[in-house]
Amino acid sequence: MSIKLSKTFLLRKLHQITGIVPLGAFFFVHIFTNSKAMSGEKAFNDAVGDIHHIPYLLFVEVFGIFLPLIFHSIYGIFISAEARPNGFDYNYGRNWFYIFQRATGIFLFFFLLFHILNLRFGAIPGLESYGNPVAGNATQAFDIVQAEFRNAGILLFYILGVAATAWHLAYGIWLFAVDWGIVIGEKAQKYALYACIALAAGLFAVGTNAAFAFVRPCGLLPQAFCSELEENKITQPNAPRRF
Amino acid sequence: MSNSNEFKEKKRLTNPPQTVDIKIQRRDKLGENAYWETFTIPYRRNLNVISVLMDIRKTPVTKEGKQTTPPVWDMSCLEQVCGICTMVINGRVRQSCSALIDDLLVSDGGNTITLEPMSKFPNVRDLKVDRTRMFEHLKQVNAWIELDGTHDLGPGPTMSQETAQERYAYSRCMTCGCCLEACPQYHDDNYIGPQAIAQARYQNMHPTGKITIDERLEGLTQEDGITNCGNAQNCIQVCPMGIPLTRAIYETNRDITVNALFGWLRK
Amino acid sequence: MASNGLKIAIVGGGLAGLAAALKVAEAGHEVDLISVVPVKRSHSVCAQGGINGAVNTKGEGDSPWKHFDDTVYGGDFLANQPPVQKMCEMAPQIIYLFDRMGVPFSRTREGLLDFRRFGGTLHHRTAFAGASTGQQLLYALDEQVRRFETEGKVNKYEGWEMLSLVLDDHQVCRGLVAMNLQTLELKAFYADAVIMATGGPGMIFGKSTNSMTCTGSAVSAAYQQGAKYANGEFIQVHPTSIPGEDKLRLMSESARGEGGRVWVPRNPGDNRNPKDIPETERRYFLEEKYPAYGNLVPRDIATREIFQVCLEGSGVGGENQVYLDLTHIDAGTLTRKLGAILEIYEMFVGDDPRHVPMRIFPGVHYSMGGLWVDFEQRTNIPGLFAAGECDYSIHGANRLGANSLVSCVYGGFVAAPSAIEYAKNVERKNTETNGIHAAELRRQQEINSQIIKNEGSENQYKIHDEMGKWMTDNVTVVRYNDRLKATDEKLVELQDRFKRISINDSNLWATQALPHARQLWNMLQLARVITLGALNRDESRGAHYKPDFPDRNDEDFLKTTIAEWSAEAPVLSYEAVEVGLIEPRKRDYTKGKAKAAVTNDSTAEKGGAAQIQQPGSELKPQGREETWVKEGRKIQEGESFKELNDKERERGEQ
Repeated sequence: MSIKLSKTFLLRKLHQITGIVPLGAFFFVHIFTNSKAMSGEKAFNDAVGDIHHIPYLLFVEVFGIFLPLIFHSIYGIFISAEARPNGFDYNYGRNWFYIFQRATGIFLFFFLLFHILNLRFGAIPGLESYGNPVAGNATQAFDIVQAEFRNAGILLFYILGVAATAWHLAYGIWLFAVDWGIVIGEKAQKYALYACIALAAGLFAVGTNAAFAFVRPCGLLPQAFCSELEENKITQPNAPRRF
Repeated sequence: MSNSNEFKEKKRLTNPPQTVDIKIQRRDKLGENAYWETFTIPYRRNLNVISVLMDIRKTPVTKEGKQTTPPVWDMSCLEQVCGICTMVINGRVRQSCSALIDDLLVSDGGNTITLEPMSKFPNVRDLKVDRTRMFEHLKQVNAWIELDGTHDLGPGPTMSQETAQERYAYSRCMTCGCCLEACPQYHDDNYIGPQAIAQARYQNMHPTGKITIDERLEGLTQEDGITNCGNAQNCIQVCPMGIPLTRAIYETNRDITVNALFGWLRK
Repeated sequence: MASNGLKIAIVGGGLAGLAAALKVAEAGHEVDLISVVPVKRSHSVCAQGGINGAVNTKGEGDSPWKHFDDTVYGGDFLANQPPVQKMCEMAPQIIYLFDRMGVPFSRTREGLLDFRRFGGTLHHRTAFAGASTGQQLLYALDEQVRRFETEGKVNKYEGWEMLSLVLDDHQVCRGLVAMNLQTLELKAFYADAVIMATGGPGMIFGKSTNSMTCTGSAVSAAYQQGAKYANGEFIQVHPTSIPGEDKLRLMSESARGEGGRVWVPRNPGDNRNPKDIPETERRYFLEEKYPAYGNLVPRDIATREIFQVCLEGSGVGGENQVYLDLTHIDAGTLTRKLGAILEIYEMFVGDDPRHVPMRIFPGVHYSMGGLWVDFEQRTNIPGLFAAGECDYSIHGANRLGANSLVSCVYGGFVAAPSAIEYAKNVERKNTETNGIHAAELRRQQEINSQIIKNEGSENQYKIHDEMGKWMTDNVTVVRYNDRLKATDEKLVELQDRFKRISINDSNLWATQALPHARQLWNMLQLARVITLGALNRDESRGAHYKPDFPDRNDEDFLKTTIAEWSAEAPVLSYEAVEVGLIEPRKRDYTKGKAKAAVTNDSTAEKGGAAQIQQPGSELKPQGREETWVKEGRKIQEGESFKELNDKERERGEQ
């Protein structure tokens, strides 16, 4: 085993793998948490509170999210800069997916920058979260998000963000599978792609519904799906809010 | 490529134009600026791009009546097996010998056909490009079988019909460069490309070639190696020989995952 | 460098050139490989059928001797027999060597090399890689040579064209002068020996099945410097090729084998859509003239008849083409049996031959003649060797199918050690430094300058067209002495007009005009060799057919034609053919059966081995159909390589 591996080779492989683990995995956890908003304020705030009690939280946050995210996005932009898109001359589905992967990546760079500064650090002036981010304020988390999402523009931006993430991740899984030589044949690739498209659709639906859950109980679904709602509402004491 | 038995009446040029305009991207010399010239040729049946260029070459006068230099391009076999006459025709890379004027007029409309040199290689002059680097890539991946010598050592190893057929598909690569031209990842020779990867795969599949697989894989884990593939898969769409280029890439990905990436686990 | 190791220059990077390069590099010597195109794009890629070698893996009692007999018989006994025998003995080893190099030959179920029958032979003797064996063999050699290139043993000069040899005062070859086709820079290459492997001269006929690089220019240059050119008049013409505006492409003979009918409109001016012409107004000229054989007459007869009909002006639309009609056969059957070859027609013509009659015409295909060489591939110029289609040694008056690839490799494998042996023993003296290279380079430079500054009214491409038309009309299938004479006069006139050309490219960078002008001059020289050789040979033998002399005349013409250059005209002489191993016998195909060879091989009588070798049988067609059909079906049914099929289908949808 004396194969020399170049820096580019290792970085690309690292880029591929960080997209799946931890970032992809984190996204699953993230929309799972978000979806708790369907069950109301308390459920969501409790979930946020639970995150606050993860041991070694700072360590997990830095090494499990921030560093991989910074690497994945910066190196991703670097990769995108190498692309010479030619979708109109070579008008094929996979060619457009290729372009789309880069476009969503670049969009996500800006979206996530906003999202993190906004809800994690409360650093976007003029927004509800300014100086009062969700992170660290488990008791007010739901209200903060709700207040922001009442602004249709921000809600739309977030929904776009969810869509881009869902696609970028799902297609990223497909790319990982082919780039690591797991899915090889044309037919296998086709079916794997269908599965990934289905996954993207699923992630988008769940993520979008979670977003709507902040402005409408149970999101877009009939409220019957979220039967615990009222009970949750009642047992939840009025959250103190700072102004 | 029609496999059906019924006669699918091909879309024919029902109302051929009197003349066809050939718009050619010219360049006098490597490194100089490109410019366009348009030539008009009388329409005839059964023209292909090569024969049109041959016509223009005889008496190079532009549409405007200006005497100019004859366009330069490469051609050799004209049967789509040597790969040399590849150029970008109406925006798409292909061999000019098998590009029929009738078909181009039917599919793209109008009566103008645009010819450009491939954009990813040094443009020597007019439609002629220098693809030397593709042959260099073959050196990088050791795309050969290590023979002890050419003296008589009897037959080679046995091989299944299936393997032989798959290898045959790879062996048809004529180094035309269509895959690189259409690849959105490839520019400025930053990526070794599907052609070389497929040739590495071709040799890796051979029982003798397998012995030296590590050397070939090492050529593919360099800075310009296989990880630069962006999976746009245009290569397999434009390959005139129908080579399963993506299969080569992904099979090689697997070999690399097993041998290179996790090879240290076997230390 | 050259002071210790030897330096061999090889001109041409096709199968023969690469085979020689490989052998030289393997022996530890240095190679300068000069090729007009990147070697991977050489004309060898066009060979499709396969490579012959009597391995006898099918238990048929085949043997190199039978292969030898077939080759000599097929060549109408004009080939010197010793090298042919040597080649046939080496053939199995050559195939095994390619097998070891990883050529994807088709396999049997056991995983061994598969062999197929070819050209009416009774033996499975032809190894093949799908439908394009030449391509695979060439690439395999290219890969091996590239390996030596990385070791610094081979220096490739791709995009360089040889202009002349460098000869010293004693007419010993000491290297060559070549031109860079991009910069037009000239360079003199010093070499202890030069091997020519430049292929055939098809471009002399304007349009042929040859590649555009097959001009024979380098060979002609050597001829003009004193190399003997042998059997130039033997040019193989394939009966059914697809006429194109740019070139002729082969249409497999199996189209006739499957029931294709050849016809022209009875009224030559009939421009109706062929489907609208009723049976009664069609002239099935082969069926009319040869009721017994119909469209399945031997190749040479088919070639002659089609040619004759067009020469009379009865071709379709008054042009040089006749219909090869398959449309009366069920389209499904055609797809199954001939799918792949019909697709080729569709790709280059745009018509679906299952529904529209194909237009075909005979096409110049191969030159049996070439530089004279002895049995060690040495030309008459010391230090100059030749191998492959550019030498004359193997095929006699007619080449057999699937023999060209083996002869190329054989030639290269013999030329290389022969050149090394010569180079080891030749005295170098001061030839490297005494200025002969510089002098030759200057001479070539002056020729270039002369052409560049020439101001005349002639157009080089039009001269080429005229030469091609005259040669095709008069010096191919059917030859008459008066027409040959007229052609020679025409060639002299064209040579004269050549002196008044002015190249139409003011930009000399990478220009095609100057190289073409130089090739054209050389082609005109070689055209005269072919024409006068044909004029002088008053007999019919192999591919050479004169209606006025319809029989083979061994007494006067069982001889090699040798042409030597002189300023006025080629000087022809004749050399006896060495026929000591197999007694010449009449080639008789009209009865459909040839007499078995009387050989020293004991199995010959028992095994029968009566092979029908028809004149005009050659490499491409037979090979094509069988595999393509076979492979095509395999792939369609997804039996073994499903991926391809899926992809094709997806493509089709988009």
